[in-house]
Amino acid sequence: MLRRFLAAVTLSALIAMPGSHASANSDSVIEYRQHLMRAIGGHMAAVAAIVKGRLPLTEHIAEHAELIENAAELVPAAFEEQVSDGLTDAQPEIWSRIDDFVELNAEMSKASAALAKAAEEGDMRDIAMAMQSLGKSCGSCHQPFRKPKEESYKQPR
Amino acid sequence: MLAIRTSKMTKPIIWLFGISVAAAAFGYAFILPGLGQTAKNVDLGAYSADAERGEYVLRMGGCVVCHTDIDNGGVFLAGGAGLETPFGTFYAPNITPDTEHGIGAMSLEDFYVAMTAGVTPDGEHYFPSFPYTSYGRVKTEDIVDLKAYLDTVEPVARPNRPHELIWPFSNRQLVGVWKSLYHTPEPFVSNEVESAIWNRGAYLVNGPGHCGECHTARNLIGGISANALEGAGKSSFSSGAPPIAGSRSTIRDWSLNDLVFYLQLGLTPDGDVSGGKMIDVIEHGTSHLTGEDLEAIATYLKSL
Ligand code: HEC
Ligand code: HEC
Ligand code: HEC
Repeated sequence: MLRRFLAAVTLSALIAMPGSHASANSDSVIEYRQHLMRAIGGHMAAVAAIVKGRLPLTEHIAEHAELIENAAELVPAAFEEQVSDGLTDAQPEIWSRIDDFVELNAEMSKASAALAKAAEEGDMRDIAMAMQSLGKSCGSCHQPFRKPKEESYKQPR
Repeated sequence: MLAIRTSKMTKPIIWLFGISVAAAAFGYAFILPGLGQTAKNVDLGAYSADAERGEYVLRMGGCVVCHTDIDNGGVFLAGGAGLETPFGTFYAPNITPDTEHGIGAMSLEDFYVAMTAGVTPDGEHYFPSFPYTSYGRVKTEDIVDLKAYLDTVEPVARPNRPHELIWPFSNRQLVGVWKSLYHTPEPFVSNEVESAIWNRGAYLVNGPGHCGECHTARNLIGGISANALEGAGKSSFSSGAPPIAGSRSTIRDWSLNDLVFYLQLGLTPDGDVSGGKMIDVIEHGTSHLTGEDLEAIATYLKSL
């Protein structure tokens, strides 16, 4: 009972938070899209771990690739609102060249589909090649639209 | 020699002028022949060239990254995109064996001197945007093989685009002054205390791989700092490159296998991908190397 009450209180507090209306809080916009990217990165790292460690989980690679393909569908909306100030590496050019951005996202989607296919067929060489193309598709969007490492909000320790 | 500590050079451009005036007073001839000398002590005929190995040396040296206009689908080795520096924009020339526009007229000895001493067949200085500061450590047999391979490449009659340099840096003689400060071609010497794989890695990184050309900071006149591979911040020379040695380096936490994987596919262990110029270095360079060589590079880097 008490727990239910607390849950209701926290929820209504959340709903009442400033910025949950028309225009979202810009920190949350950044937080969300970065987590979306990290989720994509997480699948990429999982695939890498399978290949690097020669784990007998080749069929998982196809799953991870499909999950990247699904995540790609979320990318355009995550970057819809222009927020380029704050703890972000997004370059303002994203919003002046949004069509290119969306197109590059579609390229990533295609590359992950190709990885899924290679993984289903199971040839390690093809899988490695498909991973290389997928990695390249990430780089093709990061190159114009994400700040380089030395200017990142993530400063080296 | 010259008691100038590079890190303390507050007005290096002015220094450069001062030095060049002094050098002019002594005569450039004083600087030139000394560097051209190196090839004379080496018996280039002692090795039988292997063009197939030479193709591998090309990948060790990352030559394609500069000498092919990758982003615009340029022809293989027929000349690169502009390299922007504070001195202006350099265009890596056509190194296909075309006799007019490429290096078809270069003898093996010319090529050896170009790679190690940075001196042209006419006895002028190459600009150090051609990283002979690292290639000076490349083994003679590797240079011989590389030349044999380059001779087999399809010749392309693509004229070179002239560099667009700011005066006085367009003056090749000034390079002689720069070299007297920053370039002594010395062959790679193995460290007997370390393992064979470590030494192979040290050779690949500091010689053909020229990793320090990007990963080591430079002073204002482009001299390389003493903190080898500890990263270069964004400067007028480049958009920077992270440390791959020392306490600031992220790769300290990477396993040997992680590093090998990165140099093959450009994927980091935390699910990120390589960026900037490193994409080309991997795609056109390190991803072509054998597993053993990548392990050697990783072994060496991890030891720093
Ligand atoms: C359509 C463009 C685009 C594509 C495709 C793309 N990214 Fe990103 N990525 C970005 C942008 C923009 C940022 C910077 C986001 C920010 O800081 O707000 C980013 C940031 C990241 C980050 C850092 C997130 C953080 O912690 O701040 C990772 C990791 C990442 N991307 C991985 C990937 C991987 C792996 C792929 C390919 C499978 C990929 N990305 C494909 C645009 C893209
Ligand atoms: C960082 C970019 C870069 C890399 C990497 C590079 N070069 Fe060059 N190279 C240049 C530039 C720039 C010049 C022109 C220098 C000048 O005009 O003084 C040049 C000049 C040359 C020349 C002289 C050509 C001529 O017409 O006189 C040769 C030969 C050459 N490079 C071969 C190579 C080989 C072989 C490799 C790989 C082992 C290589 N280069 C890697 C940038 C590069
Ligand atoms: C033309 C310049 C250039 C050269 C040459 C170069 N690098 Fe890099 N390197 C970079 C840049 C720029 C990055 C940052 C990539 C990014 O933004 O993700 C990088 C990143 C790296 C990283 C990942 C570091 C990290 O913290 O993510 C490693 C490892 C690395 N380089 C190793 C090497 C090795 C080994 C060589 C020589 C064989 C080399 N590099 C040659 C420019 C260069």
